[in-house]
Amino acid sequence: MKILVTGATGYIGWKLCKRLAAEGYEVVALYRNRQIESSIPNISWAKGDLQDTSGLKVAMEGCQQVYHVAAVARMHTANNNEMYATNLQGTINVLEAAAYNSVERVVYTSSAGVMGKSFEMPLSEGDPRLEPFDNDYDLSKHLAEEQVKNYVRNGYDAVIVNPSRVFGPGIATYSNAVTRAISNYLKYPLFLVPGKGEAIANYVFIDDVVEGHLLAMRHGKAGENYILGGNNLSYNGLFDLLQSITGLHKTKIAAPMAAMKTVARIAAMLQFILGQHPTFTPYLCERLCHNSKLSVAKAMSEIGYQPTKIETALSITLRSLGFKMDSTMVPRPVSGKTLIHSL
Amino acid sequence: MNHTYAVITGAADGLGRSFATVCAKAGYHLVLVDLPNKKLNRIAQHLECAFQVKTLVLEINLCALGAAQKIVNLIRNNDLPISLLVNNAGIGMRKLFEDTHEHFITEMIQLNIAAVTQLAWQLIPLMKKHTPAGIINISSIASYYQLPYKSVYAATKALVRSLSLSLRLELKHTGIHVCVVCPGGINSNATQYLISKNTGWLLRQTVMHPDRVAQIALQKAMQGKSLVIPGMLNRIIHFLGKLLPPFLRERIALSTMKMTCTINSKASAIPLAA
Repeated sequence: MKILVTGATGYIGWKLCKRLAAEGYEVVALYRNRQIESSIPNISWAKGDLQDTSGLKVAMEGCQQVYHVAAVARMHTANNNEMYATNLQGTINVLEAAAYNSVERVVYTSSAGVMGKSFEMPLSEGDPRLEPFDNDYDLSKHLAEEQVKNYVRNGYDAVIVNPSRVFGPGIATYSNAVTRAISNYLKYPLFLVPGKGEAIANYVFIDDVVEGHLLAMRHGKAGENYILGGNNLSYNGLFDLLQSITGLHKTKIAAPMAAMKTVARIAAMLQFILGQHPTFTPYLCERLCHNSKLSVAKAMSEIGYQPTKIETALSITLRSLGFKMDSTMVPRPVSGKTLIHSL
Repeated sequence: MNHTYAVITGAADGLGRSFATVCAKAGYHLVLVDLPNKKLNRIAQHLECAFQVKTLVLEINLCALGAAQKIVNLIRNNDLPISLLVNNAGIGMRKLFEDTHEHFITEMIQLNIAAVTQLAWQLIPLMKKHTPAGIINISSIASYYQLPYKSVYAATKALVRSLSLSLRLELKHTGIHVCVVCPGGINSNATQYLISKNTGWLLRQTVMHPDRVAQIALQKAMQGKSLVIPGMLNRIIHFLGKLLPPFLRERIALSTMKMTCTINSKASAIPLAA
């Protein structure tokens, strides 16, 4: 079977390509600028742009399945409309090409960001947003989801997956921020947590995200969303876990919101002067201090999704970052307070 | 911990949802009102869990005849002590008067004026039993200006402001405090977000987060303020606006409204709902 993957040079996309190839599928990996050097025989590269529908149609020829992973995965872009051009119009174009080629099913990689913040109760797929849309990323992904649902209403087949904060071995892209934080934990004596470190978010292992994509393709219901998440953890909880797994003692520093925002303002100003993308903004600071707890109950019951234990996932990640794990070392049990399971 | 209830209309999104959150945080139990199919029940559950408050949800169209009566029946049947009414539900417009559908205009008047007035009238006797109580009516900074493209909207909001200020005097010694809020731009939903993104720099700076507006409104109402314009920049612009000669004010109003109300999807890749 021939499968097209968009965003194949990205963090999730490349992992997905390798996994599909390992399963014996013939993978058409779509790339924009530079393909990844690899000697995997059943991955073939196709140059293409999401803005070019006719090119997409050609690349998709003979494909039975499409994983639409490509997106601008950041909070801000220099040109405000770029986010909508890629994430929204790009998705419309992919769907059009898929319909044209009678693709059996499209799995669209959205983001748990579209679900917004949570209070104390974890958010599920059917929940309304509890805050307004206030950034282009979330909104562009939400509008793209609407297009996917529309596509299904028109009689085609597509499923939406919503990964939470992804971490694990892989390409170090901008959006791979959690892995970067883990790597910084190993590198530096200090570990910075936003606010008081109490904000709880959902962290998911990259292999689970890839697996979730395959499960959604196989067992998902057309037009449905599936949250691909892992554990709900506070920053303090994540820090405690890293301490107990590695046995390394680092100093945790809580970065007060006001201080973070000041730094962010200065950073944003400097980046503006240097003509770079703003990567750390006051808005992002606030976002980092919101809860975003998620429930993966639906994905577990409907498509058989089974997230990896967080200790295992972190150990694998740490090892991939060059940390020598003592094989005899058993992670110290972490108190129930710090480990808040998603179920 | 407050043991009384706050009635909030239009609670499923935007400013109403923020009021629900802020009131729950302040310890009010909630009666949440909005249209059906807006998942109001789920919002209520999240609020109950986060702030340990009780909630009651009523899914009705406030434009319908007798909607206010339905809310009162729900309150009476459950014997709820009501001490706060947030008259928030409302609809806006960004079209020329002539181009606006007649039905839409009727609905706007029904929701922005009739429902607000009737709900206050119906609930005042009930709130008198649970003083100190309050009514927070949501008007708009638009209520002060002559606004093309928002003609009916601005007029409805002027009524809300006028009604509120008169009511405040009438109810002064009854223990019910009336406060009217006149916010500027609020990032209340996706459309508002996209519109504000495409306006000029100054206007973009005035756009506020609904949580912030709700927080300020509740706090100022509690302090006994009768009229609240949230946001320093909004107050400055409003003050300067009053100093301008009328002809200049009108020109600015016209050009600003033209700019913000004629943004459409053609101008960008952004799909804007009408």
